[in-house]
Amino acid sequence: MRHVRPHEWADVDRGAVDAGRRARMEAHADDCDACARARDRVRQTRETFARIRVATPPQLNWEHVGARIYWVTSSERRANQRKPPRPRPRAWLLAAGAFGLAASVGVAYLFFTRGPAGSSGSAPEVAAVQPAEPAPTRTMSVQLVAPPAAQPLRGVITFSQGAVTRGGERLDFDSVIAPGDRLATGADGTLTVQFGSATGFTLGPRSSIELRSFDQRHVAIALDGQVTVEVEHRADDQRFEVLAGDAVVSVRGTVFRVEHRDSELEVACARGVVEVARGGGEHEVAAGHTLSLAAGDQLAGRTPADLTAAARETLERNVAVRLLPAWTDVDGARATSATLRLAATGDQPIEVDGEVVGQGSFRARVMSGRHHVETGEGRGSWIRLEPGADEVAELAPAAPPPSTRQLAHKAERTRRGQLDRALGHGRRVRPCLRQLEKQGLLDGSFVVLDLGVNRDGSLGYLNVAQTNLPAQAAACVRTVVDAARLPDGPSAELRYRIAF
Amino acid sequence: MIRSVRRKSTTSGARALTEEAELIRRCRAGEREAEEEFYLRFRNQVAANLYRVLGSRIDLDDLVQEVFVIAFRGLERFRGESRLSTWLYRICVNVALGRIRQKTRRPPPILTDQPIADDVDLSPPHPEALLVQQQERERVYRILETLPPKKRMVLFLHEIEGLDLKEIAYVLGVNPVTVRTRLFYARREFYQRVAEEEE
Repeated sequence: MRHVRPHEWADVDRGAVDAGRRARMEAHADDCDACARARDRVRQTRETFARIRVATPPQLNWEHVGARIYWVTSSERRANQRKPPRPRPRAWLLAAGAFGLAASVGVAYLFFTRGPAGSSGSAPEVAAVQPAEPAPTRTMSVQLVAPPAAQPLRGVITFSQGAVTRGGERLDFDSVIAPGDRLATGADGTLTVQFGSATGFTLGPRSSIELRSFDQRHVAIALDGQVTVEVEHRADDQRFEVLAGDAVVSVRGTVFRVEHRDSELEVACARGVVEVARGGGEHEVAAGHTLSLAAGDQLAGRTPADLTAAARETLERNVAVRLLPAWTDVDGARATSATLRLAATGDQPIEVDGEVVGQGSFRARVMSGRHHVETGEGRGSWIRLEPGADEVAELAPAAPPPSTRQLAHKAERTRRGQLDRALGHGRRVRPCLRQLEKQGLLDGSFVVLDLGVNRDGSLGYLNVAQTNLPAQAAACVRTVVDAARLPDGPSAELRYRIAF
Repeated sequence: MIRSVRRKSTTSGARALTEEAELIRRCRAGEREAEEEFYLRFRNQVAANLYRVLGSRIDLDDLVQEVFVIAFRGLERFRGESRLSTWLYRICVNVALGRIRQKTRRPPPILTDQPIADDVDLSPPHPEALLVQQQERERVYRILETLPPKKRMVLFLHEIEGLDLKEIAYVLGVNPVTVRTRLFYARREFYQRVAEEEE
């Protein structure tokens, strides 16, 4: 009998081979080591298949995944609802087109049957087809129409913190930002204004701006202080400028920050390119670069410095995370969004739907719907906002730093005790070390593990930090620890040592 | 998965179908509660499907998200010709297939602290047996990864999920004859590699 092909053993295993053939295959395998080995391997593999079939999936952070799904689908739905219907061809346009076509045919008919102007009506047919002279040029008068005036822009506040004023008066969060507005922030103030899809600016602390021009063709912001701007790609005839003292920073489609204080200027660009003009000189600042100019410095000969990766990321996210994901106009944005009032003590970052939006106490505009709000410690809650709602999101009170340490220490102790019990105080890893034990090499052996325990008791990470065990034994110990089931409780990070 | 659904009694099956139809109707109407219910009802199943196909929890949350986003987008077009779970299973398989294809174009990531076998149950545990099982599982997925994506998926659906040719054809949206051909070559190739692999 020929050798048995490996997949035929799988057929045997699933009962697709008759008894006679199976007996012959088994008999062959009794005499053929290679076939017997293949049979064992295939059977082992199919047993593994069975285990895979009933494997339970790891627990995910379901709330976060759910929030992300909701975010994507609800944003898409709103964008679809706002999409204007495709204009249907109008009847009068069709009629005008048909009339134009008929007129053209008529003119062509007259031209070819009567010939060009000046020729005789009785000219032979061939002469009409090939006119000897070109048709005379006709002058048409066209009335030039002046381009429509640019529509003024309006903005909506999407983030406000601390003291923020307009024209010296306290700025209401629901205000509409319009051309000519003078906005200012105090030492603790920050303000983000959105005025287009993925377009807006964030005014930093101790800053003021004046919207000197704020329409669809030209946005010019006179700045004293710091502003970070995110501009979606704009059309060729649109300009966006920041007037910083005697310098002009102009841009098309980018993320950048301009800081202008006491005649000192710093321009940092995260994406795209910005152009800095000062005293007749011009300089481009490309993505990932920053340019600093002291008072009186000339642009000529200046070289932009590199922006660190962290600074660039911060800059990129500064405005983006505070903008509404879908935008049609100010009224649409206000009608479909809601206001969240958030407060956390200390420097705790506050996340909305997994994105850090700010620190401390602030108001933020978010799309209506369900949102997950949490502090940096991961303690959060769900909140459902109706359109136009203004609600205070409850955050678990943040513990001051010493208490945080105490909590962490307590969590670590709790989890350590639970892990001790789950591992039977080391007994459950003993079988991993049987070989070493037999050889009398166990004394003095140890494994140090770094592990993170999630709130649901699962292990976030598990690494062998240090050991003097052989690799296989260490891997075995790690597997046992990884499989340990802990109850729900505090999240903790700990270094766990098992010594023998 | 598909077979287990079929084993249900007619009465409970009819009731489940009615409930599903109602859930779909509410989701289509844009009811948030319905979408949440949909997510809660199927999230474990979706994660389990993806996890079984890929054998890894890397990016599992992203893939689960992708499946649900596709499902919510496509509910309008769901004609009810199959159970919702079967339809979702089909989406899972296609999302996983996309991931496998993506992986074949990229070098594999170096992983140190994300073991494949994180789901082994220790009751009662025997560490050595556990380790062997984990290594076996890793070996199986390693060999599966050497197969071209289409063959790998057909083999997985037949050998691990236990689907027949017609069911695989439905899930993958191909002709049953094509499935049969792919399966024939996939099984031959896979078990050959199983037999040849060094201990």
